[in-house]
Amino acid sequence: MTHSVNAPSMSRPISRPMSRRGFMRGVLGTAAGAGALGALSACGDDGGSSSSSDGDSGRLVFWHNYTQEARVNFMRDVADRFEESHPDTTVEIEVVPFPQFPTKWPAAQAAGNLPDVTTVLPTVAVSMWQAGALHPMEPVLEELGGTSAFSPGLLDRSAMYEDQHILLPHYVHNRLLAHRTDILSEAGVSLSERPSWDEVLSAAQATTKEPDQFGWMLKLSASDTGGGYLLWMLTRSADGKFFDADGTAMLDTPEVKRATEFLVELGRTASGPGQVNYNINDNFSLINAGTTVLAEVSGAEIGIAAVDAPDIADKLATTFMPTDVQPGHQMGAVSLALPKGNNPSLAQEFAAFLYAEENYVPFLHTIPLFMFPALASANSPEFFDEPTIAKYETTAQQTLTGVEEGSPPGFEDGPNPYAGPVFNSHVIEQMLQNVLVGGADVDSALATANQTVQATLDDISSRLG
Amino acid sequence: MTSRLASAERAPAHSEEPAPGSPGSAPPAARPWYRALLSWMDHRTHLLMVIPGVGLLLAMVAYPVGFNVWNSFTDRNLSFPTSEWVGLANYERVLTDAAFFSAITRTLVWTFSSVAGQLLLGFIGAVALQAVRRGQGPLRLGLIIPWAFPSIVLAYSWKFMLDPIVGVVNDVSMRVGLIDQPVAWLGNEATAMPAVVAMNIWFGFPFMMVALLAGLQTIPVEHYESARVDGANFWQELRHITLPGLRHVIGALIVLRSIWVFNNFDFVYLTTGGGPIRVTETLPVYAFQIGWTNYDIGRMAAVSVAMLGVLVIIIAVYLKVLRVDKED
Repeated sequence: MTHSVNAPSMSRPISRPMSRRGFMRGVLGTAAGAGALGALSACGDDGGSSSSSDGDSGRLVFWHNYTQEARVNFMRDVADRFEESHPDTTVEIEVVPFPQFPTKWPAAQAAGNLPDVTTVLPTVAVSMWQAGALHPMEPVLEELGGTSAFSPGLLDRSAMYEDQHILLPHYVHNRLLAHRTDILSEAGVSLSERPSWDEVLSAAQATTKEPDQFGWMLKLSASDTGGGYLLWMLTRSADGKFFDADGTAMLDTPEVKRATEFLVELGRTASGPGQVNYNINDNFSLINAGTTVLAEVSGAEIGIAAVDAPDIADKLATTFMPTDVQPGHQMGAVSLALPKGNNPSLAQEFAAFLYAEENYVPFLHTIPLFMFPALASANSPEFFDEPTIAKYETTAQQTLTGVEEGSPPGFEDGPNPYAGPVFNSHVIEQMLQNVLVGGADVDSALATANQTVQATLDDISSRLG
Repeated sequence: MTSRLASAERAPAHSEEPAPGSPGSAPPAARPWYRALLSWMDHRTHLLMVIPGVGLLLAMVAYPVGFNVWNSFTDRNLSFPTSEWVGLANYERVLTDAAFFSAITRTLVWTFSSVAGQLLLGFIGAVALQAVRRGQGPLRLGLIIPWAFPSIVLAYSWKFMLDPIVGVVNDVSMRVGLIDQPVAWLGNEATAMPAVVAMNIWFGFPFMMVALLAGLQTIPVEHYESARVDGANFWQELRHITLPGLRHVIGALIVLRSIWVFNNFDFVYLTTGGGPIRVTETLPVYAFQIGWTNYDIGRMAAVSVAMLGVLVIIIAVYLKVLRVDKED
């Protein structure tokens, strides 16, 4: 009976119906309590985004694209040392690979969460500047000693836009033509340091042995900019350009046509099936497998091969890209920029710290041959004495020559808002696919592509006013 | 037992206000303003219950869709800080672009071929698997493995298998005499779309199979036994028992998979990038090219609204044909 006696008292709270007003009180009370707690917690929380009044402490957010373990660790080490020298400062690092970057920064800007410092490609930096997402780099440049701190002309070709330095190159590299020396020797072919178009075409054709070895496997995927960059290099070699500084498309010029015809000839006689699907990132496996004998590379591919496939690396050598009236250099400048984050003064200090003597060359050495100095002072024996760089000194010197003579793609007249959209539209890759797969003739394919590029340029020009 | 009886009595009212007209009630005094508010809210408690759900729905669905529609009437571009209302200009530009209509055609081919292939293979697999008496669990698990991998892994695996130089598909096909020379399956305008469709069928049919198998197991065995007593053969059972029994499941699967496949971006983009010469450029790839290569968000929004319209038409046709919505 104990059970029956206790049961009513246990069930009593359940049997009492909750009034609606009671429920309302509970809800409103809970909401008020939560609001008060939230307010209290907000008072004690810096939200992760507050900046100090003096700019010397606080939270600093740094995005970089350096995905390899060696570079990730090095950047963390630099950040730790920066924190040590700046008490009460926290450097938060987020690795943002370049393919993600173009979609990530607009979202961050819309949410008010731009980082304080970021690595960036020059074409993307122009878009960010147009969108009002960047601070100028002048304070950092002054801290480093002015424009003379960088390699001659480098800033004019990659950083100067609307009379401001919108970025500073962190490191540079340049496209070269790599070749398998063993296969070229077997075919009885050699290449000079500045090979002509004909020289390259002959070598590529001589080393093509279908179905599994091709002289120069092109990489013309429409999800990649490799085809556009390659045609641009050849066009520059013929002293032409895709568009002028005023935003007029120039794909219908003789220089572009000659470059396109050369590329099409390569594609038909020395490249293989699948060329419209390969990306630049396939280069390494294509070279290693011996599928391609020639390939447009940067020192990075050589440096990676030296570590991961030393047998192959020993058989690799480089020349400048094919020369018509001049070599077609394509310089790359992975750069630093200052987005409009929450801690601009600390960001300037951190950016300058990345160029400090104790950080700069050691960083370039984390992956030898991957990165070359943008700072003039770093172009020194300290850099060249690294064993892998010393072993491939010719490649290193060719790279630095290319950096001096070349420019980022589409930036031959300096940074502009047109280059990014033109290359990203993949209109060049589509045009080359039309010719190589669709059977279109070069003239009509170029005419169609020229119209598309002009429409893109007109869109941009109209927005710029 | 007395306590139990007491508990059954009506609980006293806990209202703070005396019931109107009750004996001893005082004449109504002037009520403070907040009591009127409380009373108003008190009578609308049900709305309070609904607010979280509606709020969540608005935040998760209505806001993004509404924002997207709004963007489609502007020249919003992420490379420029300001945007202006441009009316129907984006729609006009999209609807006069031949590539948009080509993309619609390719999307329909991609969607219908993929869903039909997945359904057919899934159905065959489900019927076959139902007949398996031992080891059905491991088999079912094994066949659904493709769903465990990220699409980028699957896309690159297929790209590698279909590679004209080192791909296993060409190697095997040449060894058995199906082809004389390597074929660039993803690089040839005649084979690129069939190749990505084949990949998508391989990826999607296990989902169909598992769902159909679950549906098959709800059909009473007695129906088949009765049919066999009446002399029905396999095909007659299939037509008169199995397919009608699976009608609802098939309808739901077709609608769901069509929506997913129609909107699929990663398989196509990662394998072909929409090429060669745009023969695999479906609407999502077309929209991506506009929005995330040129940051032309306004025009991309117009494309996505148009995509929604196409999808609604497709689903409406499906529902009409399948009459799923009119079933008991």
